[in-house]
Amino acid sequence: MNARLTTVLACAAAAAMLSCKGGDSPPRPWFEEEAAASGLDFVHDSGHRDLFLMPEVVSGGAALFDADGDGDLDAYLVQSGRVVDAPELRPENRLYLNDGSGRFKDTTAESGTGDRGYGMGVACGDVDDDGDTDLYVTNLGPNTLFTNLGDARFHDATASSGTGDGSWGSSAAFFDHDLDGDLDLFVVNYIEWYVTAELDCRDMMGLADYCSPLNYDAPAADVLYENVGRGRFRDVSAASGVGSERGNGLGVAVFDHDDDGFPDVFVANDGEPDHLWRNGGDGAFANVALAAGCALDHEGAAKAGMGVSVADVDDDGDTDLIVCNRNRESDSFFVNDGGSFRDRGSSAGLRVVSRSFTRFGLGWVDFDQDGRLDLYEANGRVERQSIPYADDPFAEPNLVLAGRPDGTFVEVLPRGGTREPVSATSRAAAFGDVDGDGAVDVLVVNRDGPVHLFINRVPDRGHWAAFRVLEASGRDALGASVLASLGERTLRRDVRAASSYLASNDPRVHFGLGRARRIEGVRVRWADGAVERFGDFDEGSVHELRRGNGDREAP
Amino acid sequence: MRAGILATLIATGCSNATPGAEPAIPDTSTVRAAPEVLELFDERTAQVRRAPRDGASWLALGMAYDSHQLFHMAEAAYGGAVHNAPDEPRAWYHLARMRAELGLLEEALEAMARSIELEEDYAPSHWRTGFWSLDLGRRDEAERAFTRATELAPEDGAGHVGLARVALERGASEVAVARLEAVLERDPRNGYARQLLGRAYKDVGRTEEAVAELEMAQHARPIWNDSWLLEIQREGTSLLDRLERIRAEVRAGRGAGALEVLEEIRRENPTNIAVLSTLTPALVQSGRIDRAIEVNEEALRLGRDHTRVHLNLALLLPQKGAFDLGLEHARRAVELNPASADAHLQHGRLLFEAGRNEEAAGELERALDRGNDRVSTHVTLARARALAGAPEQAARGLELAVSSHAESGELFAVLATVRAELSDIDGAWEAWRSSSRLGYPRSLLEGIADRIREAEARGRGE
Repeated sequence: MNARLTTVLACAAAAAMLSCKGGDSPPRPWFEEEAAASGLDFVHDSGHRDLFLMPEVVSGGAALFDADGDGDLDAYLVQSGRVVDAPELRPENRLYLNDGSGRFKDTTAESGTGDRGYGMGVACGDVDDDGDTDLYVTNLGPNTLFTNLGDARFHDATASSGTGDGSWGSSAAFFDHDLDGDLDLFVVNYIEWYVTAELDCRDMMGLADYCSPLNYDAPAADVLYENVGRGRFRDVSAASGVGSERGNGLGVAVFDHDDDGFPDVFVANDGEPDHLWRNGGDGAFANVALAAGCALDHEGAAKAGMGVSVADVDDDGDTDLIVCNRNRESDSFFVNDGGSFRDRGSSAGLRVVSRSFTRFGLGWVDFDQDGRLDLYEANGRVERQSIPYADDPFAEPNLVLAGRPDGTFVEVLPRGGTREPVSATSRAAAFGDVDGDGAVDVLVVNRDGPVHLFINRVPDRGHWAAFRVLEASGRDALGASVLASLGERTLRRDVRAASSYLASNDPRVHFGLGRARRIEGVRVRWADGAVERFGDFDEGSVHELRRGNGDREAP
Repeated sequence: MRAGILATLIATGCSNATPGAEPAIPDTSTVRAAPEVLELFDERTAQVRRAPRDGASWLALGMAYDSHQLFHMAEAAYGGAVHNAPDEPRAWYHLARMRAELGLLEEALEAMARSIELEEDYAPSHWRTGFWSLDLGRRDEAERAFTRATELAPEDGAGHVGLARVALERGASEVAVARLEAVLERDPRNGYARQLLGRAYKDVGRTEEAVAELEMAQHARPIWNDSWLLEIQREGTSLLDRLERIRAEVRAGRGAGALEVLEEIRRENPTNIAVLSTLTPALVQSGRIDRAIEVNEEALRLGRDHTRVHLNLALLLPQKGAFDLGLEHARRAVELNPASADAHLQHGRLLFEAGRNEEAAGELERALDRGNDRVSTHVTLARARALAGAPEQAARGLELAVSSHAESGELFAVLATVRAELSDIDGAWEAWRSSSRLGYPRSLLEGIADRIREAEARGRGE
């Protein structure tokens, strides 16, 4: 796209946003796209040639995690390739190590992480509790577990761990479901799909295109693996109840929705009611989504659930939930009220702006560090557009929405937060501070295109503080919550890697402080419910909070 | 270059929002579409070029774009319609709809207000105003609009459902419950009302009823009575639109009338699964089973080795006496798509007919596991299990099935038979009575009663 056209498009989009009433001075962009400059040369290949095979339209995962234990975020990018090709003919997944300044080097060959399955997503967690982060890759077909040998070299432990589920995996999440101190694994499966059963679908213009998952009528059951120690897992899907219901699962997030001390699992299903697996604490899970009010939208309709993000958006101490959906369907913003949800997408200002796009990766992040969570949505259609935004007929611009004190959100312009409009068929969005400046950046995988790295350049950002929250063993304390005072508000941010879409995010906890220079009364509520007090912290640093180093509060 | 078109359209869409601006015909030269769709656009565009001051031509052009979901272009063309025919309420109405699709709700409301000025008694204008007002958080305006819709069309659920939504947003959930229950009394198939009722029940603490309503309605989509919108839907020319219209004809039992058109579509798309899936039942409905077999076999010859083609043949061939061939096609359908409930079901049915009861039971269980929860599947499965020497399993399966199909006299009847075989005489009579209460045919019930009595006599050692 040439510069003149992109400018016209940006103005037109902005004009449409502002309802043709004109605007004031041009808004300042929030991000600069710096993937190529930073050394991330990954180009996703969905394998699409002439046929329209369903996996091609939903693949493309990413992780931001510390592979080599040097304290910065490395990038793992999940590749796909042609569905019909043998694995050895497919391109491999890639691992890029960060030199600490946000410059990356491809170390796939040395790392041993070049999986060649038809890749979908990735989850990160220290499964063997040895203090370094391991990788779980979901595929169309058997998934792969890579255990980290400690120096950014990995070992394929799929067979020995027993985690190679052979369905069509999408998102996955590590969490300690039984609170026994090690990480279990939840794997979301999409549909039971066979290339031999692919269908002929047409779009509104009468041309061949991808089908809806509902055309296949073949929802899949998800899988729960229990970590039984010594690097082995046991499939407890049937025993736990997780395998009892099927869905077209895409996104996943783990959080304790009813604050009973046990982590629950939310799964976004594409075109079907979402699942909320309530953890009974005795190994049994029950899907309570309908009763809890988060299976369907505010009108009772099942939408095309894609990505998921969870956070305490309204500062009331419990965890709220957002599920993004396809075009002509608004975001479902489920506000938690004592374990029961109400879809507030409309009153929060998300309904109108979101429904023009098909959203996949998303995250609640305080980009401008004003103490209010903002929302990022990575977009791209699942069917070809007759009048596309770019040469890629699936491409769409992303959305950034700024959180306001009244609980509503307003779109950040220029659209997508970049000076020049960027349109691509975006899938995974992973969030984390890549360049070490304290502000959260966004890594986006684009179907059949180069990856984007949006570096946070929000003008006049507020102050910040961040925390690496660790178990005594040194593993990231997934499931722990950090509570901190900021003036009269108590902010809660959780240690969580799995959310968004096919993605794993920086597990460090980030607080935007606005004008405040100090964050007070920091407490950690660990996954098992124990609470430790860590005191006050200054802005501008990443602080380590290790279990046992704080003052334990009486239960 | 195509990106520029969208930019221009967004801009022109806005500039056309007032009748004063001179409308421009959207450029369709780079729109990618099937030939029949492009032909429609070309025809309508030419019409506008011939009569650029004719509002009706602009309206027809807008409807062509609208029916193919080209919202920006439709908005521009409807802009041309209101410019040239400012007193045409339909043009303002559709312009409003397009603006709403583009997220321009304020502008949509302005256009709809103009449409209402011109034709006040069209109820959909009012309930659409209500829903957009609700999206903008204007409950009072929404309430006024919905109320007017109910006055104009008291039997139509839309206005009442809208008022229920207003009540829900105000926290007056009991009011919403009353309204929605009334809507459902008039129209039990209104899935949208059922969904909202589920939510309302939840709000008032009637959680079990809420879950039941939501489970029933989770796949429902709102269906609105809007004759002006129907005019748009009839405009669609893509294969999808044409097949959808034909399917509606077939569903209504008018498959024979659609055959000529379908055969023509098939000649252009001889291996298209959607076409074969529409043509096959239409041919069957008109008694042309041989032709149905022929078109599916031709698809196979052309290389379409697909589950649906095999399934069609598995259904058709046994009707013409080629049972073994039908069974082989069913097996191949399962092989190609093990996820297909239909494939397992058909394979299971044919295996059952072949007397291979154990294999049949396995396949029917797989069909059930994949969501084929039909009464007939449960019945065949129970029979296969019983004949395979597992009547206890058959009884257990039926007991589970009747809990979700409590209205099925047939299931209770089969349960009565199986229990009789197991010498559970009391249980058999209980199931028999349920079947009788549900209106299962008396003649069949008499036979089952005889079998229960025989089992009773056997039990007494007679």
